[in-house]
Amino acid sequence: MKYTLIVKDAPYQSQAADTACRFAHALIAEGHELAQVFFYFEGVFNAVANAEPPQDDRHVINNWTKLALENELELVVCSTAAQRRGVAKPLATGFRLDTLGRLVEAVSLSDRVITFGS
Amino acid sequence: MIMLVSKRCLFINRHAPYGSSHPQETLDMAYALAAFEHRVSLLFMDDGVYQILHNQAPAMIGMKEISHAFRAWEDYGIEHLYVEKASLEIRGIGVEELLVNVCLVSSTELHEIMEQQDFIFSD
Repeated sequence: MKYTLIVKDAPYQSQAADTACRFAHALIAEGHELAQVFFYFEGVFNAVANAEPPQDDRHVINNWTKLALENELELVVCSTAAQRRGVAKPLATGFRLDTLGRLVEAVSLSDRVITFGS
Repeated sequence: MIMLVSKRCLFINRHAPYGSSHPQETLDMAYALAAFEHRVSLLFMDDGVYQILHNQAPAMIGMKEISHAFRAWEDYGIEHLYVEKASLEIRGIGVEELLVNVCLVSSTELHEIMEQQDFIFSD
Protein backbone atom coordinates (compact mmCIF):
# COMPACT_ATOMS: atom_id res chain seq x y z
CA MET A 1 0.00 0.00 0.00
CA LYS A 2 1.02 3.60 -0.52
CA TYR A 3 1.11 5.87 2.54
CA THR A 4 1.31 9.59 3.24
CA LEU A 5 2.10 10.73 6.78
CA ILE A 6 1.28 14.16 8.20
CA VAL A 7 3.19 15.35 11.27
CA LYS A 8 1.48 18.06 13.35
CA ASP A 9 3.60 18.32 16.50
CA ALA A 10 7.06 19.77 17.05
CA PRO A 11 9.90 17.43 18.00
CA TYR A 12 10.11 16.91 21.80
CA GLN A 13 6.65 18.50 22.20
CA SER A 14 5.14 15.03 22.19
CA GLN A 15 5.96 11.51 21.05
CA ALA A 16 4.15 12.12 17.74
CA ALA A 17 7.23 12.90 15.62
CA ASP A 18 9.14 9.91 17.06
CA THR A 19 6.20 7.60 16.43
CA ALA A 20 5.68 8.90 12.90
CA CYS A 21 9.35 8.28 12.06
CA ARG A 22 9.23 4.73 13.50
CA PHE A 23 5.99 4.08 11.64
CA ALA A 24 7.67 5.22 8.41
CA HIS A 25 10.56 2.77 8.95
CA ALA A 26 8.13 -0.03 9.79
CA LEU A 27 5.90 0.40 6.76
CA ILE A 28 8.90 0.50 4.42
CA ALA A 29 10.34 -2.62 6.11
CA GLU A 30 7.00 -4.37 5.50
CA GLY A 31 7.25 -3.64 1.79
CA HIS A 32 4.84 -0.70 1.64
CA GLU A 33 5.58 2.55 -0.10
CA LEU A 34 5.88 5.93 1.57
CA ALA A 35 4.77 8.62 -0.90
CA GLN A 36 5.46 11.61 1.32
CA VAL A 37 5.85 12.92 4.84
CA PHE A 38 4.18 16.32 5.15
CA PHE A 39 4.94 18.67 8.06
CA TYR A 40 2.17 21.05 9.14
CA PHE A 41 1.17 23.07 12.22
CA GLU A 42 4.01 22.92 14.80
CA GLY A 43 5.32 19.92 12.86
CA VAL A 44 7.34 22.37 10.74
CA PHE A 45 9.81 22.61 13.65
CA ASN A 46 10.99 19.09 12.77
CA ALA A 47 12.85 20.72 9.89
CA VAL A 48 15.01 23.20 11.81
CA ALA A 49 18.72 22.92 11.19
CA ASN A 50 21.32 22.86 13.97
CA ALA A 51 19.22 21.38 16.78
CA GLU A 52 21.49 20.07 19.52
CA PRO A 53 19.63 17.90 22.02
CA PRO A 54 21.62 16.54 25.01
CA GLN A 55 23.79 13.59 24.03
CA ASP A 56 21.79 11.10 26.08
CA ASP A 57 18.54 12.04 24.32
CA ARG A 58 17.43 10.89 20.87
CA HIS A 59 17.94 13.28 17.96
CA VAL A 60 14.49 13.50 16.38
CA ILE A 61 15.55 15.72 13.48
CA ASN A 62 18.57 13.58 12.58
CA ASN A 63 16.28 10.54 12.63
CA TRP A 64 14.16 12.19 9.94
CA THR A 65 17.26 13.02 7.90
CA LYS A 66 18.40 9.38 8.13
CA LEU A 67 14.98 8.16 7.01
CA ALA A 68 15.04 10.53 4.04
CA LEU A 69 18.57 9.68 2.92
CA GLU A 70 18.21 5.92 3.32
CA ASN A 71 14.98 5.80 1.34
CA GLU A 72 15.27 8.77 -1.04
CA LEU A 73 12.15 10.23 0.48
CA GLU A 74 10.40 13.55 0.31
CA LEU A 75 10.13 15.37 3.62
CA VAL A 76 7.84 18.24 2.62
CA VAL A 77 7.44 21.22 4.93
CA CYS A 78 4.43 23.47 4.32
CA SER A 79 5.96 26.78 3.29
CA THR A 80 3.12 28.93 4.64
CA ALA A 81 3.15 27.21 8.04
CA ALA A 82 6.96 27.43 8.16
CA GLN A 83 7.11 31.10 7.22
CA ARG A 84 4.43 31.94 9.79
CA ARG A 85 6.64 30.41 12.50
CA GLY A 86 9.97 31.72 11.23
CA VAL A 87 11.25 28.31 10.21
CA ALA A 88 13.51 29.33 7.36
CA LYS A 89 16.25 28.05 5.11
CA PRO A 90 18.59 26.35 5.50
CA LEU A 91 16.42 23.49 6.69
CA ALA A 92 17.86 20.25 8.07
CA THR A 93 19.08 17.81 5.39
CA GLY A 94 16.29 15.94 3.65
CA PHE A 95 13.61 18.59 4.19
CA ARG A 96 12.29 21.05 1.66
CA LEU A 97 9.65 23.75 1.58
CA ASP A 98 6.67 23.35 -0.70
CA THR A 99 3.00 24.27 -0.90
CA LEU A 100 -0.16 22.47 0.19
CA GLY A 101 -0.42 21.49 -3.48
CA ARG A 102 2.18 18.78 -2.85
CA LEU A 103 -0.05 17.31 -0.14
CA VAL A 104 -3.03 17.46 -2.50
CA GLU A 105 -1.11 15.23 -4.93
CA ALA A 106 0.08 12.87 -2.20
CA VAL A 107 -3.46 12.41 -0.84
CA SER A 108 -4.61 11.64 -4.36
CA LEU A 109 -2.13 8.86 -4.96
CA SER A 110 -2.05 7.34 -1.46
CA ASP A 111 -4.14 4.47 -0.14
CA ARG A 112 -3.72 5.70 3.44
CA VAL A 113 -3.13 9.17 4.89
CA ILE A 114 -2.25 9.10 8.58
CA THR A 115 -1.76 12.09 10.88
CA PHE A 116 0.50 12.17 13.92
CA GLY A 117 0.08 14.81 16.60
CA SER A 118 -2.50 16.28 18.93
CA MET B 1 0.48 17.51 -14.17
CA ILE B 2 -0.43 14.10 -12.82
CA MET B 3 -4.04 12.93 -12.92
CA LEU B 4 -5.54 13.41 -9.48
CA VAL B 5 -7.72 10.70 -7.99
CA SER B 6 -10.53 12.31 -6.05
CA LYS B 7 -10.63 11.27 -2.37
CA ARG B 8 -13.31 11.79 0.26
CA CYS B 9 -11.78 13.97 2.96
CA LEU B 10 -13.30 14.99 6.29
CA PHE B 11 -11.85 17.84 8.34
CA ILE B 12 -12.81 17.74 12.00
CA ASN B 13 -12.73 21.11 13.73
CA ARG B 14 -12.73 20.65 17.49
CA HIS B 15 -11.03 23.78 18.76
CA ALA B 16 -12.23 27.31 19.47
CA PRO B 17 -11.42 29.71 16.62
CA TYR B 18 -8.75 32.00 18.05
CA GLY B 19 -6.89 30.00 20.72
CA SER B 20 -4.34 28.88 18.13
CA SER B 21 -3.66 29.15 14.43
CA HIS B 22 -4.84 25.57 13.88
CA PRO B 23 -8.42 26.46 12.79
CA GLN B 24 -7.06 28.81 10.11
CA GLU B 25 -4.49 26.26 8.95
CA THR B 26 -7.01 23.43 8.93
CA LEU B 27 -9.27 25.59 6.77
CA ASP B 28 -6.37 26.35 4.41
CA MET B 29 -5.70 22.64 4.02
CA ALA B 30 -9.38 21.76 3.49
CA TYR B 31 -9.85 24.46 0.84
CA ALA B 32 -6.62 23.47 -0.93
CA LEU B 33 -7.84 19.88 -1.23
CA ALA B 34 -11.31 21.02 -2.34
CA ALA B 35 -9.78 23.28 -5.00
CA PHE B 36 -8.15 20.23 -6.60
CA GLU B 37 -11.14 17.95 -7.07
CA HIS B 38 -11.09 16.19 -3.72
CA ARG B 39 -14.48 15.70 -2.08
CA VAL B 40 -14.13 17.67 1.11
CA SER B 41 -16.52 17.94 4.07
CA LEU B 42 -16.12 19.93 7.26
CA LEU B 43 -17.31 18.80 10.68
CA PHE B 44 -17.58 21.09 13.69
CA MET B 45 -17.77 19.48 17.10
CA ASP B 46 -16.74 20.15 20.72
CA ASP B 47 -15.40 23.74 20.99
CA GLY B 48 -15.07 23.79 17.20
CA VAL B 49 -18.72 24.90 17.01
CA TYR B 50 -17.59 28.35 18.22
CA GLN B 51 -15.83 28.77 14.85
CA ILE B 52 -19.14 29.25 13.05
CA LEU B 53 -20.89 31.59 15.50
CA HIS B 54 -22.26 34.94 14.36
CA ASN B 55 -20.75 38.23 15.49
CA GLN B 56 -17.11 37.37 15.88
CA ALA B 57 -14.82 40.32 16.61
CA PRO B 58 -11.31 38.86 16.81
CA ALA B 59 -9.61 42.10 15.73
CA MET B 60 -9.85 43.13 19.39
CA ILE B 61 -7.26 40.47 20.24
CA GLY B 62 -5.22 40.97 17.09
CA MET B 63 -6.52 37.91 15.25
CA LYS B 64 -7.78 37.64 11.70
CA GLU B 65 -11.44 36.66 11.34
CA ILE B 66 -11.79 33.17 9.90
CA SER B 67 -15.58 33.07 9.72
CA HIS B 68 -15.68 34.96 6.38
CA ALA B 69 -14.29 31.87 4.71
CA PHE B 70 -17.04 29.67 6.14
CA ARG B 71 -19.80 31.89 4.76
CA ALA B 72 -18.80 30.98 1.20
CA TRP B 73 -18.03 27.31 1.86
CA GLU B 74 -20.05 26.10 -1.12
CA ASP B 75 -18.14 28.43 -3.46
CA TYR B 76 -14.93 26.77 -2.31
CA GLY B 77 -16.21 23.38 -3.42
CA ILE B 78 -16.90 21.99 0.07
CA GLU B 79 -19.54 19.25 -0.20
CA HIS B 80 -20.99 19.14 3.31
CA LEU B 81 -20.80 21.18 6.46
CA TYR B 82 -21.70 19.04 9.45
CA VAL B 83 -22.21 20.07 13.06
CA GLU B 84 -22.53 17.60 15.88
CA LYS B 85 -25.87 18.26 17.53
CA ALA B 86 -24.80 17.43 21.08
CA SER B 87 -21.87 19.87 20.93
CA LEU B 88 -24.34 22.71 20.33
CA GLU B 89 -26.76 21.54 23.02
CA ILE B 90 -24.08 21.17 25.72
CA ARG B 91 -22.95 24.76 25.04
CA GLY B 92 -26.48 26.20 24.84
CA ILE B 93 -26.01 27.32 21.25
CA GLY B 94 -29.05 27.45 18.94
CA VAL B 95 -28.80 26.92 15.17
CA GLU B 96 -30.02 30.51 14.68
CA GLU B 97 -26.72 31.68 16.20
CA LEU B 98 -24.71 30.01 13.45
CA LEU B 99 -23.63 32.06 10.45
CA VAL B 100 -24.26 29.34 7.87
CA ASN B 101 -26.80 26.63 7.14
CA VAL B 102 -25.42 23.39 8.48
CA CYS B 103 -26.34 19.75 8.55
CA LEU B 104 -26.93 18.73 12.17
CA VAL B 105 -25.81 15.17 12.89
CA SER B 106 -26.00 12.81 15.85
CA SER B 107 -22.96 10.89 17.09
CA THR B 108 -24.38 7.74 15.46
CA GLU B 109 -24.63 9.51 12.11
CA LEU B 110 -21.07 10.77 12.61
CA HIS B 111 -19.80 7.21 12.76
CA GLU B 112 -21.40 6.52 9.39
CA ILE B 113 -19.99 9.72 7.88
CA MET B 114 -16.49 8.88 9.11
CA GLU B 115 -16.68 5.37 7.71
CA GLN B 116 -17.34 6.80 4.24
CA GLN B 117 -14.10 8.82 4.19
CA ASP B 118 -10.74 8.06 2.62
CA PHE B 119 -8.90 10.60 4.76
CA ILE B 120 -9.77 12.24 8.07
CA PHE B 121 -7.85 15.21 9.46
CA SER B 122 -8.49 16.52 12.96
CA ASP B 123 -7.32 20.01 13.94
